[in-house]
Amino acid sequence: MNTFARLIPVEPLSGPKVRYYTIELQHGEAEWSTPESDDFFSRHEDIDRLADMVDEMFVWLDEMAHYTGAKLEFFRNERNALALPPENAKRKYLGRHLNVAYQEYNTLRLYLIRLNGNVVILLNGGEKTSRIPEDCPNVRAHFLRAQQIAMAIDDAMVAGDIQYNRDQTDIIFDQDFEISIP
Amino acid sequence: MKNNNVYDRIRARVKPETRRYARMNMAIAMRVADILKNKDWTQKDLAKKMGKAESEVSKWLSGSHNLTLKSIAKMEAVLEADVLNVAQREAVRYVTFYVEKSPTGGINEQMPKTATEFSQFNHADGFIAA
Repeated sequence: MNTFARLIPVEPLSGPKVRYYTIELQHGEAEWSTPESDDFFSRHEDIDRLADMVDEMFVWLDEMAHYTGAKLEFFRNERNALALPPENAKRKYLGRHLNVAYQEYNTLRLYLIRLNGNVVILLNGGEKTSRIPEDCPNVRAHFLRAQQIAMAIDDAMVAGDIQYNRDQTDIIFDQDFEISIP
Repeated sequence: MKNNNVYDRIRARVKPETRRYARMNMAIAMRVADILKNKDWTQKDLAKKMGKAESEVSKWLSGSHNLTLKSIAKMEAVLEADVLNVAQREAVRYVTFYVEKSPTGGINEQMPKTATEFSQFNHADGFIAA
């Protein structure tokens, strides 16, 4: 049974510097799912012990959208995809020297695909409980799906199904464009 | 009634210090990337100049090591760059550079012009109380 994915914009998060997209999934003949990034934030927003991590991740996305753009150094590598939060060194450094409360380790992972500094596709994620994502029951499926979608998006870019606009600040694709995921 | 837009709900509850902390984080991230790029250095280069194993420096930068002030001071000396005071300076730089030169044009009069103003600025709500 094939799974299909379609791209949808995330207007409430997008800003002048970054256009965010996410995907909806359809398994076989089932209804289209909740958008992946909506699902990610909705599932974690009310979990008390994760609230600060969720907020921090949200602010990173918000600040990128409005001020800095999606600079590569803000993300961590996750094989074919990327993820938030970034590596921990600068976070720890700031927490110590500015006496600002912070999470020693942000264990949440939000997988995403950065097409360029202006366009990012947010996927899904969870609380990572093991060093290897494939070993973590919370993120395994999201991590593997991120790899599949990253490759499918890459293929779609090469095939011209997804194109940049003239100044590469957004992408263009047919409204009925769907990606087939094995 | 619960707002049915999860992004608006989270935006509304974010504490000012969380936003400020993230901005400083981003400024640091850009600063470190700038220094290494300007010097055309890799982590390996940095490790070599500090007389450390690449794995150790990598550990520092990956956050799994509890960096001491001494380590930071040594890194600053090797990088010949100010890291301790960089957060606010860089934060102001990114606002002035990225916002004032935004495609929408011109300087936004509502934007912070000084470091103090910057620390009090919340782009969603304008200036917030210190």
